[in-house]
Amino acid sequence: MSALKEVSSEYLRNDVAIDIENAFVDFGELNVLNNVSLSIGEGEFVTILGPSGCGKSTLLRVVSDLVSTSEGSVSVFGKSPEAARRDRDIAFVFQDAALLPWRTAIENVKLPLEMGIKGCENLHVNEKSPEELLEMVGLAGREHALPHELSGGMRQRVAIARALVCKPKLLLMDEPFGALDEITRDRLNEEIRRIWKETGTTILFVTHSVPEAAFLGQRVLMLEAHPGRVKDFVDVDLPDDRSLSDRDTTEFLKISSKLRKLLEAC
Amino acid sequence: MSYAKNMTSNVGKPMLKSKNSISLPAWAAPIVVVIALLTIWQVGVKAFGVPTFIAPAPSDVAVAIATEYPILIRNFWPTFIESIMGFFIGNSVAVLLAIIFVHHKKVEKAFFPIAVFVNTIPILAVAPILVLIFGNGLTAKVVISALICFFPTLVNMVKGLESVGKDALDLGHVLSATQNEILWKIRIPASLPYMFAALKIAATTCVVGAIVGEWVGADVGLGALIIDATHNFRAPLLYATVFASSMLAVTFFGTVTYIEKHIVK
Repeated sequence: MSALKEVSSEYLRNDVAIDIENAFVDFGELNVLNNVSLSIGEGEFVTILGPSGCGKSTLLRVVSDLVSTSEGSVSVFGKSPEAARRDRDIAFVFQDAALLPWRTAIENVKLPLEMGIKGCENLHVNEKSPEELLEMVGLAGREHALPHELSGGMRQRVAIARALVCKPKLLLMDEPFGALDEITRDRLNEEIRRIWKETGTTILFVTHSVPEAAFLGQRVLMLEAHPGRVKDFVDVDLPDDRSLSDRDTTEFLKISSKLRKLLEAC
Repeated sequence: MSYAKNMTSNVGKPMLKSKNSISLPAWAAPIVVVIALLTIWQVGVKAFGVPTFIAPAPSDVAVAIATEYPILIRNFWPTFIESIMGFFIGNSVAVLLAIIFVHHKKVEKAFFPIAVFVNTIPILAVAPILVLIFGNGLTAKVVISALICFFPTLVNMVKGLESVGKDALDLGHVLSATQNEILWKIRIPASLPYMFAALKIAATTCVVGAIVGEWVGADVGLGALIIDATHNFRAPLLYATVFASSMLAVTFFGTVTYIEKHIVK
């Protein structure tokens, strides 16, 4: 056990952000996550890849206290998921943006500042103002647009700005670009890499797409389905400074094909 | 050759079209139709010599409105007060109950069938019972008016409060929002379009409730005046009263629509 920990500790340059040990999740009769153990270091960018039904989303929901485990332990920054949620350590980006349709872009970004028992103002607020965050995600000038006036990609940008407003230590993203066209998706992939480097926040990113998983992550967590369990962690040996054109390099293609083979074997 | 011909003929078309179409404001068409119908009515009644006490001509009704104006106004206000009180009470109870239902599923399961049952009793059948219980005064009419508003608002409000997407509720949870915050910042704003749809129904039915209440037993009010005018064969006054009732409902409806436009984005 300790030997195993030492092997994985080479990834943990800093402290542990997420530590899951022998976690089981059951929805009634259905076993969704089966004996999942993993450890993710602070500041890491980990993508999660796997066939449908492998519990990718459930894993994120366990970490964010939306789903509780039936067995095993989960700690987020050394606390229970609930405590981490209450301390506003976690932000979640959903697949369909989940903006409130009656609020303008800027009002949606400000929502986390108005909610929660403590609000997050006395915890940690991003030194960037909501306006600056919208500018950072490329939506300067669209502050007062309602969600239905924005494109799918723009809505997702608003959701990202909203997630950053409380300066989360952990950003959970559940297939955020799954519904977008490829051009928009590529641009947002580059931007999320830039945001990650700028903020240093830990990111856990669920995706269906092999190139997306390889391009974004430092490590790719492969899950197997029925029941959902960890298959493998794959290191992405690419430079931290990545651009979209790096996806044509042989290194990238090697990693992609490796991931694809693992996915097919699931 | 024919291709070129087609092209030239197409070029001229849009200009011709814009010249041919007559542009009228949106309200013009219904006004024209109403004037036409009133004219047919006026001419028909006069041409066939229909007695005024059976079917008065529009001109007779207009005369009645002008001469019986004081009576109409005197009976207008009680109905106005009954229906507006019924509107507020019925809708408030419905909205509060919907909020309770959404938070306590067990309460909903216990009380919703009762609400459905109450709604299936025709309002004309309950009205006498309520007049027996609450007497001949204002209360019975307000209760009947409230009762008729209640059910559509309850059903729509429950639907509206539950129309919030799962993601929005999950977001609230991740943000550690309190029940109150979720209610006021997520559920209620999401329910507003549903609520206004229900309030528009209630705006007209609350007047129906008040008038039905007045039919069963009242000395004043548009409902009482309708009964009185009918029994005395004062058809022009009857029509004028019906017109006044309709105006009351239209005013409520217009007010609700105006408020909706300024609140719902």
